[in-house]
Amino acid sequence: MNTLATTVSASAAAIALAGATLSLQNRPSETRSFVIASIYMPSVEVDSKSCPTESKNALQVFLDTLSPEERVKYADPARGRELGALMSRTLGFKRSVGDTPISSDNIEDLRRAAGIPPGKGAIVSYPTRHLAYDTCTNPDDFPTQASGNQEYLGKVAYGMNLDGKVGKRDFVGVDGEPGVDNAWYRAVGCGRIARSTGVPRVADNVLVSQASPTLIEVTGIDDDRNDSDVDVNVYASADALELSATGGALADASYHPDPRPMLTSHVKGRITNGVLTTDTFDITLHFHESIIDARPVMRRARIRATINADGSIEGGIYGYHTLASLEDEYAQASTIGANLMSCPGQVKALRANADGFPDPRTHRNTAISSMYRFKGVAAYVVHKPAQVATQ
Amino acid sequence: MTGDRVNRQIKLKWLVAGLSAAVFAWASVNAAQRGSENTTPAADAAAVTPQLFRLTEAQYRASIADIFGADIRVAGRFEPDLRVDGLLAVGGSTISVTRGGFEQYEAIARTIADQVTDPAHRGTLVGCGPSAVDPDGRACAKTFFERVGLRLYRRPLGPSEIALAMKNWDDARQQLGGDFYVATSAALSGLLSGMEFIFRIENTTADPARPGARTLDAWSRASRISYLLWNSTPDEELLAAAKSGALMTDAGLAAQVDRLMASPRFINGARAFFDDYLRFDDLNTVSKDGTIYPRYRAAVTGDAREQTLRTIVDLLIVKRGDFRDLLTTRQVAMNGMLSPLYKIPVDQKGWAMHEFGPNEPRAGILTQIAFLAGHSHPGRSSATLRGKAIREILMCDPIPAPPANVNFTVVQDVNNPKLLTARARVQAHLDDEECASCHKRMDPMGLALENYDGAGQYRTSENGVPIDATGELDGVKFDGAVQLGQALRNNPKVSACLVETALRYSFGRRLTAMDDGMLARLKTQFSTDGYHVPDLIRAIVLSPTYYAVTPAVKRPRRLAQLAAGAKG
Amino acid sequence: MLRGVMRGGAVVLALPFLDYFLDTNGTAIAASLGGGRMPVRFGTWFWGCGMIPGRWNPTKAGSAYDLPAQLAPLKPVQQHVSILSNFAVPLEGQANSPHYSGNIAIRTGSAAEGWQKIAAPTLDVIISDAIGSGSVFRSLDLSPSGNPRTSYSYRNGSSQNAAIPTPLEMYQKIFGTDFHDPNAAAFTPDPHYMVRKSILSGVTDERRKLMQRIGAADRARVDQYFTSVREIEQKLALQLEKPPPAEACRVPAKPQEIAASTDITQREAGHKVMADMLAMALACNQTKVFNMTFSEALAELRSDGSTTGYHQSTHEELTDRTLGYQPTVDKFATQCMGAWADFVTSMAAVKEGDGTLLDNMLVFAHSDVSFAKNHDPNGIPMMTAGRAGGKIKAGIHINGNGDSVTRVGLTLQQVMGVPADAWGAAGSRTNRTLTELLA
Repeated sequence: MNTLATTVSASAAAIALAGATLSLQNRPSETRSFVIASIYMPSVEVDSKSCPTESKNALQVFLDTLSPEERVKYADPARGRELGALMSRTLGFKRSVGDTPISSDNIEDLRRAAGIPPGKGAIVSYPTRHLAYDTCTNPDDFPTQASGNQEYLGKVAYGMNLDGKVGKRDFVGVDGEPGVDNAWYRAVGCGRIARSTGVPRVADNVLVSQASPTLIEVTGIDDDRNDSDVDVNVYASADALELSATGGALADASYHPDPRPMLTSHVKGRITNGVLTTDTFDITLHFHESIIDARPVMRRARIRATINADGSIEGGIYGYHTLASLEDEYAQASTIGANLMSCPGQVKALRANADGFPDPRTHRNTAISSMYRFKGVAAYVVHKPAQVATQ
Repeated sequence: MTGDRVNRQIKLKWLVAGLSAAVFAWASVNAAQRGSENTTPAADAAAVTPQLFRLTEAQYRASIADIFGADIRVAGRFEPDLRVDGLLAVGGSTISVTRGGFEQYEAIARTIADQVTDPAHRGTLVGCGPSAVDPDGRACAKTFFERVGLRLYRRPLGPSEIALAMKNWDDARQQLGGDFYVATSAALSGLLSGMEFIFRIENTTADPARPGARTLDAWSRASRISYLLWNSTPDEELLAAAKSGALMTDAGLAAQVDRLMASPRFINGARAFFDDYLRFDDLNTVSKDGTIYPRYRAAVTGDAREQTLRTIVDLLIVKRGDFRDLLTTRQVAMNGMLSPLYKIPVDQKGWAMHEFGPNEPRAGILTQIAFLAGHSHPGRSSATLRGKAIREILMCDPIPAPPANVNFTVVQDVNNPKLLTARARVQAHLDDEECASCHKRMDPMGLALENYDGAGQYRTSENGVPIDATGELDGVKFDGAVQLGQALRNNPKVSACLVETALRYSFGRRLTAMDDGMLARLKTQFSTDGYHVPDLIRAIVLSPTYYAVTPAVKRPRRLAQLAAGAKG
Repeated sequence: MLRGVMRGGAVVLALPFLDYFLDTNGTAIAASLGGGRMPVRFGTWFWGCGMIPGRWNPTKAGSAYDLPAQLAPLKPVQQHVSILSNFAVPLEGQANSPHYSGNIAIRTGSAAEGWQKIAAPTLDVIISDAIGSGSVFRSLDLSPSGNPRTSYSYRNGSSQNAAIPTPLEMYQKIFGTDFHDPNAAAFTPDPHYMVRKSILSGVTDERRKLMQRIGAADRARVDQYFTSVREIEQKLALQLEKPPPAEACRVPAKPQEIAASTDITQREAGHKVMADMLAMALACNQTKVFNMTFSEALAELRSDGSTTGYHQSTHEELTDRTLGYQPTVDKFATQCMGAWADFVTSMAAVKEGDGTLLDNMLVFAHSDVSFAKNHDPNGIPMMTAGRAGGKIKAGIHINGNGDSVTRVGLTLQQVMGVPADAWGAAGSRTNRTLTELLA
């Protein structure tokens, strides 16, 4: 009888204690979620010192290899298409044609039919998926195209100090942060794409990956200005980006996460004066547009972003971009604009500047320090209730 | 002062009206006493209830879908319906068809007829053609016009009408190369262009229950109850009940009414009533400034209308709830187009019922976007427009036009021109005595809704100033939209107005003194029986008055009341 | 770019053209031809919420009138436009219904507090009844508002002539499948019109039977329905005849759809497209009467990004102490005058006969109030554009000195050949033509 009474009273005490603890933090913690509208490699404004020349694009590099008479003839921009066709023929680009969806059953047949050498070519996805063999899918096969890339020589770049050291070749960040590691920017910052469309005042308003925007879900928020312990989930969206009446990203829409585990990441973080900073983690993003279906992979990455009072978010993902996923992204993007860059030149520069994750066998670096800048608006991430497995 | 002159003019008008009313009252009492013995056919009676009701666009489309199938495209612009006394249903009995309007009908008729006779549809919809025994297809054509004519005109075609259709068919065959289907299409478009299709035309017959009196004939009854309960044309079973005479008996009528009300199609009739009652066709011209309200996308207005209609149907028809709960319900139909404006997550982009929590500031249809955004400006809320809508729509309390010569300079404080909230802006209405006489009936209620901006989004402050949403209605104080909804729920004017509007809608005309008794009975019944709208509709539709044809002096109810007061 | 074959080198109107424009009322048409050989077209142009009198009314009467600030947009077309200021609206003891009374009095000749209560058809309907037959469209009601109810053309209180509310619909209606290019070399009457016409005459034949079943209250409605049917039947009959050539006719290209908007700049864009199309509809003789409603009486116009629209501003905006007027209201009113100037320019741009299309037109522009802040029905701005084939003066300013607006309506009808000695009901009835306007 005594033991029972003791047990009961002990339990009562425990319950009372638990109740007291709960009442200290009786406000349930919040979740704040965002959908990312724009995400891109940010550029600074360059000048003739930081970029003495503009990186040549594929057409320009090819032009340089022609005879003087041909060079004069094809210098006329109106002949751009002709020049492209000539480059295609001369260098031996190949492409599978038709709308047949590519599968493991027919990929070899398609390759043979297109005349693509065995083991070469890659699946690119504009406008329908096809096999392409060109300077972007197989840059090593077109060494003559590998020249003409101008590295960025400036001192300032966007990014974060990823390795904890302030090296000689490191940049100063746009906010004065020393030791910024962004070798990707060094490699490609003088190219046409980075200079014209990578500047935030332009690029912040360009919607990216509308078919599958990135979702960031921050849970366990007890204080949205200062909280030492929050959980951050990053997903690819299964739903397309919803647009507002003015064509920007719509705030407060609802999105479901893409269920595939490879596109889901989790990391812990903290909020300090409204700035969210996470621990490092590996993340696979999803860039899905009408012309691109790419999976950029960032290793040992960190998110640092400001959560604004109006529910919007702006900041960056800082980490080591794998070369493989970056080169695949170029392959995806180049099918409509080989004249915007020269893939072999850029790939050569990327590999030369790669500064992380050496391959244990070849000892060559397989990733490059980089940064993606992003902006997003408030959103709801809606998780479907767990389904009972039927298999 | 001009204001005084206006006031005197108004008073003079009412004095004159009062005197005329006294005269009218005497005349009408005599007429009413004579009315029950009056056996004059409708054609010779003095101004009686209207006999022609133009189909609304929705009714036209539903009728075509029911007769020919939902995949027949009805493309074209319909002449706008007219709102009279707050209802398009009443306007339908005052309008005709303009030249431009008829041109539209004729064009739409031809596109319908072409589809009905095209290769994809002719098998099922025409069902016969030229054959060995009928080489021209003449016999087939005649059968087709008889069958289709019955559905289109909601009564059997007369011999001259069939002869006319065949004449058109023959002419078309001769002129257009002899093809059976081309000719049939032409003659069918003629039927579709007829007044008997575009309008409901009611006919009377001798009343079997009251010798010497007249009542609506069976075909007219079928049309009336079908368009009221399903917002569409009578189906085959209802037409059969008309043909057999069942609709002329109480039991037969009740059986059909109950069948129609038990059908899921009753929801269409209910939606059409509430759409008209809430004046939702005004939503067609709502425009919102996308820069000020980026969450208000182009499709929001249409979905907001759908939201409120679905909510009403769910509460009042499916769940057979209390009408008054429309002002307080936390249930609302929601979808992905609207959810960003309500700042709530949704599981799916399509429609699903959502319930607001007990502490959330949304309850009742007045906190839904159709009402809030529908009665606002493109870039701003409007306490006056919302208050006016509550008065006129929900309380049947019309607000007169504003006086023309409003002088704002007197009431605006030029030293403090920054009026930061709506309450501050409309204070001028309430400070001036002349303005206040009408504005005090509108602005206080509208101001209770100021927590919702012009797009219906919730806010707690305007221009940095916290919103004061307090007010009073008939002695009941409220603070905010939820309490306003409660106050309206309990205000007897609201349910009385619903009954009156339902009666006007059902009749498709203004009410007269002759309707007073029925209206009073319906109001009492509605409140004692739990405010169930289907019961109200049923009571109207099964009342013999609904089908009675009595010659009545047509004059507005108000004057009749005054007259009754003056007399007694 | 001339289309079709022109007889000889000179532009000659063949005789059938004149016959074509005669109807049962031969007198009316002769008058409507004015002095020239082109038919005279009539139209109204409406904008809501008036103007600021001190910044709109010219001070100088007669020709070469001054252009106050709100009339500045008229500078390039001033020679085409006559101003009629300072006329009064007869209320006849009725209340001044804001945004209604003035508009109704100008268009119907009598006061009424709402359109459902009007006592007479609007003057454009009277004129189109007189001169509209013989054209494919007896009249065209247009508005770039996107709302078919933006129209002030009424046959009676229950019968509004709805507007064609978008440029694309306007194109499809006028220049779509039923359009016959008057300058096309070949014309083959399409037997489908014959069939449609005879079907409609069959519809009309049923009228008598229907009337027997209908009570007195509804007879007028039945009558109107059958009149409408008959008018469309007449239109079909016209389409069986080869249209006479129209020298100025150039079939326009199909426009891009411009989404209807209450933003005034977008409204102006849609309006310009419709005005240019209307000019061609007139030049191609598709109609002789039209109504263009730029904005409704309550001027639902606004500027994107601004929380307060035009109408709200007229009531709420304070007079700026330095400027002496309401700046936002001033801006909107001036923009409306810009749209009007655009309209006049579109009509003047089409060469026709010895002059322009506008020379053979009488366009009557007006609003619903003068000073919108207090709904002033007096001094409502009114203008004419064009010379009505030489029958009226353009480029003058007439100060009405408080005379009734019904004088204007009467004069317009007389110029257009309506046999009217007087106009207006009861106290507003007048028989005094505005002779200063006549050439």
